[in-house]
Amino acid sequence: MKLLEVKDLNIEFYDVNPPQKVVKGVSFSMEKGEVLGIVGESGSGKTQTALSILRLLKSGSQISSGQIFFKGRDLAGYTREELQRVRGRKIAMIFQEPMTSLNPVLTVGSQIEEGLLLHTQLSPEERKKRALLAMEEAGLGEVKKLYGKYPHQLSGGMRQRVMIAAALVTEPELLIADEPTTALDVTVQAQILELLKEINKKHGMGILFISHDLAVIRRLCSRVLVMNEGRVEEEGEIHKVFEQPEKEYTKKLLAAIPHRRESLRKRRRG
Amino acid sequence: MKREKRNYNFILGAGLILFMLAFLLIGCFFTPYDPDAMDGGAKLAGPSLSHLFGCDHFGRDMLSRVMKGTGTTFFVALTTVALGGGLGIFIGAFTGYFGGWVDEVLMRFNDAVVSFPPILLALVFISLLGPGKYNVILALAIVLIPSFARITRSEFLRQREMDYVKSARLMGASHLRIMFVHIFPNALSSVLSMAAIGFNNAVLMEASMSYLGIGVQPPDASLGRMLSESQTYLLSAPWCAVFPGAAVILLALGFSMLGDGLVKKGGR
Repeated sequence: MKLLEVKDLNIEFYDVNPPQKVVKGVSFSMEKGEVLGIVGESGSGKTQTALSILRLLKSGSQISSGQIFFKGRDLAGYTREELQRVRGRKIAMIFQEPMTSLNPVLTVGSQIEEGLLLHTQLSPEERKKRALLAMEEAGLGEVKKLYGKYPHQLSGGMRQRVMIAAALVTEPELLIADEPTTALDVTVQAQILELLKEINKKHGMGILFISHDLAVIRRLCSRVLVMNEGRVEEEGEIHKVFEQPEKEYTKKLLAAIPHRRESLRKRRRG
Repeated sequence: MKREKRNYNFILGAGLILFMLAFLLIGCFFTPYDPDAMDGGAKLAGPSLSHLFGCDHFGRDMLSRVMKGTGTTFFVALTTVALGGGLGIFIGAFTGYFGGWVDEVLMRFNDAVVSFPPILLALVFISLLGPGKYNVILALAIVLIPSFARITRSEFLRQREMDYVKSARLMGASHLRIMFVHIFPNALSSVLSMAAIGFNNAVLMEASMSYLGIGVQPPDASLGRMLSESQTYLLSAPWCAVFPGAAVILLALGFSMLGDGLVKKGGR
């Protein structure tokens, strides 16, 4: 059974005139424990696709047609209670902006525990224990001290780790990561990628990784989906897509990656 | 780095409120005389050692009455803000969070309430409900709802699109939990300063309604009532007006300074 299967997904913004289709007939699937990348430029519909999986689309946009199966069951058929149970418990998500994705007035610990509080009947001590464990796993040091701190006391990289800890704590089967490294500097970015890789290996957690950064996708994912203007341009194994791209758009996208040698040569010439 | 300016408004406001609070709390358990006991011999007696604030036209001790009256006024203000503020916050949270037609309907209703002068509106409610302490509370609470609803709504509107709300939702938190556990603490600073302003308004409105004779009914002591009764003797016995008036001023000043201070603290 596939972990996630998206069939002919269409999303439109209906609060603009005329209504605008932002995702047009996207289909893809993910195996258990797989790391799938979605790459595309801004406005290619990759974030909308991810949000629609958890039915978190903003008001003003909707899934106009298509189906999303999570472990063989159509998410559209879930009642609100079932959906709330799936969110956080089975599917977790982390966002691009670690600055705004944590609540500024709640402590780090309570935000990590939120998922446990909502989905389990654990005692407060047990919850704290698990939260501390998840924090350690997310690569945070001095977890006991951090537990009672507020988000504004942490750096961007630490916040993203807290987000990851919050996503990990309920041991979900699918983690949707929407540009989780974009707002971070390069060294922290590399650390976070390593962390995600490790988690994927250790727990067999499927990761749907969304990015506009081809280099990041290449480092992490085994398969990639190239999106452009709401459509899937190309799909395939990471090496195949990167080394022998079939579509013109993918070639252009790959050509847009700056190469160190080339730029050096150019500079010398100039 | 520039040293932060001290928030004098906050400190002074809080000090004044604490002072008045101590004053009225003592009044709850101990007053020098029975506030309602009349003493024919001490009619309109001036301030003296036995009657620090003097006596009114029935020979009742003013200090005792001001203590009791401050208590009444404070009680009315507190319950008004609790009731009106609570309802306003609830309405604002719902309309701001969900938006849509519920928002439209409730906010237009809000606009309708706001479009009347508050005192007039309170008078209309009182004439419908009849005078009395509890009806005054109800009327003033209704008058206070719109301002709280607006402040809360605008905060919720701003916060609801934030990523942390999204992440709370995808952790599986229910709407109510998101509204009151996740968003509300973020809106607290503006709601608190609104509450201080609401207190201020409630104190003044209670006093003016009691002054007009439709608020707290005699023989209960109320600051506004005492002011209106002392009018006749303003020249012969000014202490009857000065002390209750001073109490009203101190309460209102305290709350309004506290409110300003909170706004400054929140806006930091």
